[in-house]
Amino acid sequence: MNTNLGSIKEDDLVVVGCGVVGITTALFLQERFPNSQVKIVSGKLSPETISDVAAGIFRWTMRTPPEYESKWPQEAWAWFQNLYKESPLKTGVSKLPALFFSSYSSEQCESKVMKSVCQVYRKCTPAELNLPQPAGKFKHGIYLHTLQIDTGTYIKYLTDKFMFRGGTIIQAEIESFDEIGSKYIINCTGLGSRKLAGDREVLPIRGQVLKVEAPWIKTAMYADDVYIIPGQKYITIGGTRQYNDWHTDPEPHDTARIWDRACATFPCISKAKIVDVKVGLRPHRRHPRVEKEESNGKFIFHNYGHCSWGIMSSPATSKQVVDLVAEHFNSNKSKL
Amino acid sequence: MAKVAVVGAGIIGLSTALEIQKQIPNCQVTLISEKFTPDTTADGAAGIFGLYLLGSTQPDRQVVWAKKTHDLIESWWKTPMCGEMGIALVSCSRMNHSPVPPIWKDVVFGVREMSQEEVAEKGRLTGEHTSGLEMLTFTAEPVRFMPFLMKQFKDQGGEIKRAKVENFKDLFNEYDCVVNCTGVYAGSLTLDKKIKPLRGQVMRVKAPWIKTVTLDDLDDGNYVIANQESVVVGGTHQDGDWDRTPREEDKQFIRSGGKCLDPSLKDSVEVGHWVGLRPGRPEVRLERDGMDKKLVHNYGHGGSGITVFQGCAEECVDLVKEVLQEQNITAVQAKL
Repeated sequence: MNTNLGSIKEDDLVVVGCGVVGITTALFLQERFPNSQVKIVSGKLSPETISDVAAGIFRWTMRTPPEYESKWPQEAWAWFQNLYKESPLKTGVSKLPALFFSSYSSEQCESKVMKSVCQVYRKCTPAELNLPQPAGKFKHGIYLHTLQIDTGTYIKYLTDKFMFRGGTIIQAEIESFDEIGSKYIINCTGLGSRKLAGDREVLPIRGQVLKVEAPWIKTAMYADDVYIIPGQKYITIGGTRQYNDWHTDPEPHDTARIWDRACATFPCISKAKIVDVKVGLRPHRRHPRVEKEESNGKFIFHNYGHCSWGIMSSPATSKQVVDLVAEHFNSNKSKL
Repeated sequence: MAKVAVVGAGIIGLSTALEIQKQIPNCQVTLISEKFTPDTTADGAAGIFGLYLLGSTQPDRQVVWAKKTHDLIESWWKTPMCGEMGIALVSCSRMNHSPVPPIWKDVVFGVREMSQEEVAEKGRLTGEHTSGLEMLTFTAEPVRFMPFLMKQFKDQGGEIKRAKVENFKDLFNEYDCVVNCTGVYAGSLTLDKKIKPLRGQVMRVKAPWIKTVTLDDLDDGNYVIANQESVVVGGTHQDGDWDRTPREEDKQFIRSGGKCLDPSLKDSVEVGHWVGLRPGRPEVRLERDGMDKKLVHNYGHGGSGITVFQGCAEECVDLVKEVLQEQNITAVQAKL
């Protein structure tokens, strides 16, 4: 494993952070700038990133900057659709029917964005509202067909492409961007940006999930704060949303609460075999930060703060940040 | 105590035997069959709910049977035993179905007409699909839930006899009522020339990204059905064909047609081929015998055993009660 920060040259395009946002951004940089060296510096690599914890469902309830509202969802959706058509096995992208139930309000289940991108999107019928227990509790529901991404497989797919095209990954923790010798940094450090980018707005929303085996679950189901999302191998049952909670170890009472609520709402999951309990600290921010910053003689292009929606929005925000890099080079007529 | 024999332990016989136990408590039920699960006709089936190959059986009757069966499967889905019983909630798309709306539209969940965009995504070996209906319903894998029913039957005092019945008359001395659930084999025991095998060949593959069901309802249609551990790709329905050996030309049809319907099958791994002989008949025979007063028939359910078994079992038990009442058997009178 390459740990040598010293190998970085001034003209390299260095992506910091190798979660799903980092690897996607790095790959897009390679495609846009074939004559440049793209390198990734990251403390953690898959399967140890926060991205690896996620269930990977495409569900656009993310607050999107208004100027990108009509752009990002459609671009991300098209990206994953194309990967599905290429190969679900190799890319980790599957089609996924999903039910969203709420005992509170219809706003909890509805999503304008999902309505616009999904081919199938409708209200649940009264009979369907009786699928979660107890009968009569869940008064609102939406049924739709979306996509689901097995993160491990997906990140490996992207990483293989990146390496094949001559990319380098350096495993190293940094305390400051000054430790990186290049002039151009693309910051995909998620929660790490609180320190590295000095962004006090970034805070974790802790999420604990169970990874289980339950191959009879073929449809995703959400009911208030319970969710059951099938992947190609495991089902993710969640979850928690603990604001400003930095604990990365699994908590037994969270596991018990998640499991009990899931089984009470969907008894069909009761005999699932729990294979793993994982914790991910979602990098919360009002919305992802995608912008250029000049600092200490470096140009830092930010792409962080995706909260619950890293996998889903990464193709769109990564394209956005690469556009910013291209814009920078065009306007400065720098030689690449 | 009344004594009733049910001949045939496939899905129809087993469910009928259980229903007799449920509705006529003072009754000894004996299940006599050459074959038991996992060697019955339904055991290799994917178990997707759907009325199929019931000929001219009265539609109203079909719907009543289907509704009772769907409700029962839904109740199984809502228990912790869901997975072990092989029940899954699935999105099911039926291409080129006629008539629209289908007679079963209120039995399953949320029937809707597919958009042209959705229809166009699925291919056909020849020509194109012209329409599609999409819904939520269940798959119920018989090879998984029949053992549960067998155990329930035995626990409730049912008797099992592994034997081949050569003539129903042999049973009339010992039993007060005999129920004929011999399915495709009924022709050798009755004078019925209308019961014929509708040969169905299928292939099973590993393709864990496929979580839905797609069926082409035309005569030369293929289908792709997600099960727990594999995906069933089919199929054929060859009239009068008793050959249970998988044939090469059928394998080719299944492979090619399956890939048109779902191109992602290109990544799948084949795990096996199987042939089932559906009990085909111009209509279901659920009636008392015209000559033998003790004999009740419940066979000829085409490709719909899993879809109608409960409704047929209930209707059949009404006839069994009739038979017992005529003989003044106190079992039935006491219950009244």
